Amino acid sequence: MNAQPPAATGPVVEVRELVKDYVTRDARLRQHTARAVDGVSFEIHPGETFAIVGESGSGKTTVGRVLLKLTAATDGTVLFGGKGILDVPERRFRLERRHMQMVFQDPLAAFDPQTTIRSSLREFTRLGGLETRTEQNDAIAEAIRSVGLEPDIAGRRPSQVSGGQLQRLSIARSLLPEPELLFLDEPTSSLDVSIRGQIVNLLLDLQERRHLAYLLVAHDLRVVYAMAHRVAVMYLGQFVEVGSRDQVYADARHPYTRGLLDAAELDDPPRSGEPVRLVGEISEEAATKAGCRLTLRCPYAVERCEEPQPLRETTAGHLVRCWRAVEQPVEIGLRANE
Amino acid sequence: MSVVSPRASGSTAPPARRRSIAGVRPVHLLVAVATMVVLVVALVWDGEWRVLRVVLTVLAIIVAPAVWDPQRRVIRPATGVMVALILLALIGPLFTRDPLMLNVGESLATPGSDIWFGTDQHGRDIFARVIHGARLDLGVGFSAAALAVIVGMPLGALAVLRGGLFDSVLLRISESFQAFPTLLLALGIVAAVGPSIPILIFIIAIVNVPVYLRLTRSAVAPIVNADFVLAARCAGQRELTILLRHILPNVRQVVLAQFSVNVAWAIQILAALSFVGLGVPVPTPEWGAMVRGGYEQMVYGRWWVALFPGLAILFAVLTLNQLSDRVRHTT
Amino acid sequence: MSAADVPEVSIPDAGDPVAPESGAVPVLDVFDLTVGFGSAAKRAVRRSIPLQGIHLQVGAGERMALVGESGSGKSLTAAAVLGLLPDGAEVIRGSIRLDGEELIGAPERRLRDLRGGRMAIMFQNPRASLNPVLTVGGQIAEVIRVHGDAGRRESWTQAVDLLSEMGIPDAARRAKDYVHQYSGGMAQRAALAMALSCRPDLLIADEPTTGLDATLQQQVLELVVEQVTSRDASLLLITHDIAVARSHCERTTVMYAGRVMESGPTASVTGSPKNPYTSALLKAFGTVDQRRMYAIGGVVPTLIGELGECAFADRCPLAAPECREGVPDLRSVGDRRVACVKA
Repeated sequence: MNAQPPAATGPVVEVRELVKDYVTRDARLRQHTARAVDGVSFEIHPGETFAIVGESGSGKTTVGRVLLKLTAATDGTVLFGGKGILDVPERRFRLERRHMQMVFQDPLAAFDPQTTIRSSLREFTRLGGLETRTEQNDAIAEAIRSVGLEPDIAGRRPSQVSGGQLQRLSIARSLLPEPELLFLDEPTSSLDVSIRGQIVNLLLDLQERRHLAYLLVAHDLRVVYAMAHRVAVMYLGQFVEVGSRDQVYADARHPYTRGLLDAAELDDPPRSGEPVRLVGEISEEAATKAGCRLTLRCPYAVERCEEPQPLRETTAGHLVRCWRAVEQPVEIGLRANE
Repeated sequence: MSVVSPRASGSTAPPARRRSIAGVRPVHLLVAVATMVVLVVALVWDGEWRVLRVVLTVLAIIVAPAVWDPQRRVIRPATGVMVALILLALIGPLFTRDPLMLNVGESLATPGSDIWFGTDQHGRDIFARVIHGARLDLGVGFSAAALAVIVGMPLGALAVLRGGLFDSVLLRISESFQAFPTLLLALGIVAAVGPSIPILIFIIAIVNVPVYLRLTRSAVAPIVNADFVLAARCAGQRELTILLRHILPNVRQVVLAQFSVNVAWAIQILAALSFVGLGVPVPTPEWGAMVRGGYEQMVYGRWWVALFPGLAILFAVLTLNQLSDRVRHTT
Repeated sequence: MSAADVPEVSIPDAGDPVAPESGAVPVLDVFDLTVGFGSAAKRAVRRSIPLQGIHLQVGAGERMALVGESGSGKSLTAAAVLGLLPDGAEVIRGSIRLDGEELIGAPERRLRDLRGGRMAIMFQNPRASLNPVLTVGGQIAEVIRVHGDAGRRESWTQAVDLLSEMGIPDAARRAKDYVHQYSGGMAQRAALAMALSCRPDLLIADEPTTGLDATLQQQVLELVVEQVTSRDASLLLITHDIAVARSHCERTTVMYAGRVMESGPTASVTGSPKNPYTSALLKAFGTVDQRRMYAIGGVVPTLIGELGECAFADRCPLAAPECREGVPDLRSVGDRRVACVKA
């Protein structure tokens, strides 16, 4: 159980203070700005998996989409291989997409229903620089074999393939241009439990073989535990806790993280101590608050929580956005800081 | 989509392809020969409305392969009747009498074994006129609807992709077109320019463009953000390629279903315009104009003059609606 | 389905030692339920059998979990109980009794009375069971009026009370809202209020929390259990998550490929599974220690024609030649029933 990433050179991708606003208009044409991502920073090294967890509506998928320039960022910097990419116009960035690819949540939605799997894959071989049809077909066959399927499956339409097989094909497709970074957007949540393990293990094998960097977005904490080296917990656009996998799972500090972990019932027998119960549900109204955004749901909320909360380091590499977790750990049921 | 299914099954299932190479299936052979004959006859035979004949011929060639349902091994009834109608419109006039020939001695003859549909007040053969009218009505209907699709579909897709001001302006323009009563608009233009076939096609197309624009717009909107379109962007494809290869093929179904209804609608507009005297010039056989010419005769018990062209309109419209239903419900 | 088929079916173990509260009639008794898709006469070969010989009993006040992956037939079982099988599906044999009353072959009018009367359903998508153009309170009040003798005003008050019991804050005001104004968790609470408004004996909850986050899932499930218990109703909870079954139901039935694999008290089914499929499912939900997840190889079989062998044989780590000799019977083993020759 080597939770440490393999020795790394520079990071594949570096994200600094990323902000993304969605502007909508209501029936009376009034503008509403919703901040989906609010100042998020992290970096991912080659061979490393960085996971973002959180409830739906926390903004975790938006981070990945902005990172891949599939939606425009509002503010912040993304350095890919040391170069800023957010200001590069789409026209020039098109071919740069070979370095970063995406695996979608629902594989059936990720394939054009009107074309065969082969022609879907062919588009990605072109991005990889293969021009002749033979080269492309060889690459497609090779990619399909590398995810454990037989190449003749490529003649079928997406609807003629099972969900698990289609997700394998989606992974094969994303690897055709030989990217350095793969954005895995809930790669297992539309699959059955018995298939889920197969896909996770396949992704782990591919990462080891190709030294890929993964950005994993998921709400299944078992999948995250099996795959991630470092984990960020996101709530309403902000990271509330960041750390290595073991720091976050075994030594969760933020009440939100502990609420998520307790709700997932990962441990058998359950974690010692009183489980943290989050009440109510995520509400976008809290996303504009200056202070902690969890106060209405948090059992430990006090007046001071309404003040702005910076992300503070507790131990090396372990950041928490909660003053009580740092200053009054015992009062909220944590061990005292050593 | 029935039109592409033979091609699609040929490319995905190797056995089917091998069979068609070894020996062309009799149905395909028959269709090929028939369309060749139609093409030659329609183009070589000299007469009026060459453009309409070309349109109808092209249409017959596109639609004919879809008559046969390879999976259920039956003839699709609506498609079959449609193709038969087009063929009748194209080559039927070869075998009838002259629709323009006046014969006062035989005016208002009752239908019989000799003159099937009887004659009108000028002694013209109504059967010949109905058959000749099919070419005009179907030809104008299809041309107008096709023109409307060609303009409306890309505009609708573009409206979604560009969004913002472009979208709003386009929508307001199409709304103002739709707010205008069709007949009134047509009356105005015809009164200004004078009736002629190209003008009629143009008018009918114009009033139909907003239909396709809005239809395509609403069909494209959910697809633009679909995962497979995002995947195509990840593959580094150009916006135009994504539009043509991934977005439009996925809305084709909806648009095609609207297309056949629209042809029927175009035929009705043409008939209505002719009925009020703003359609085709006078002696030309056209169903609407014939109904108008015959309705006064109804009072005197000469029902056949207006009935047969009226039935022709009904039959064509019903077939097209049936066809539209089929398209909507297949795949 | 012809009624004559029913008596001919022989039960593997007629004297059923695990029948809950022997003597008492179970609220729901599904016996040898077999459902086919497609016309039997035309294409006998291609006919699929998505449910084959389902046995399921839910006693009064009991909470039963029906666990399975997609395609296991768990939702189809619920649809059959409700008399809402999709087009093309028909009951080939078997019986379904609600409080001792046979539902198979019952007239549609009777079934309609029972649905939303003695049995109620709660769907995965709460917005599917609430009409978007009526207020939430209004439609709950309507159900109360139809099933009782309450007047307009009284039924509205009862609806508001019910919503407030489901933990909807400020229920008097929220009752006047439409379902699209509710958040996901609130909508599921309203759907529960709707389902309970007719005071059912049996609540069927079909994946009621699958679309929700884990934190909400816990809240909603606890509410369902609490409300069902306080009303002495029975619960049939359909879920793909065996962990949900473990923490919320007393009894568990595990289904795979249209068959019951194992059924019995939750503690023993999840604590010491006797069917390899149950073990596999538990491992898939178990704790992860390595940078690896437990995976069951292979794919779920397609259900064309009646099975001639154990449905799990192709993927089972313990598969042996005798597993292929026939479909294993659902036998009584200790406190439960297991369909596995190895048990």
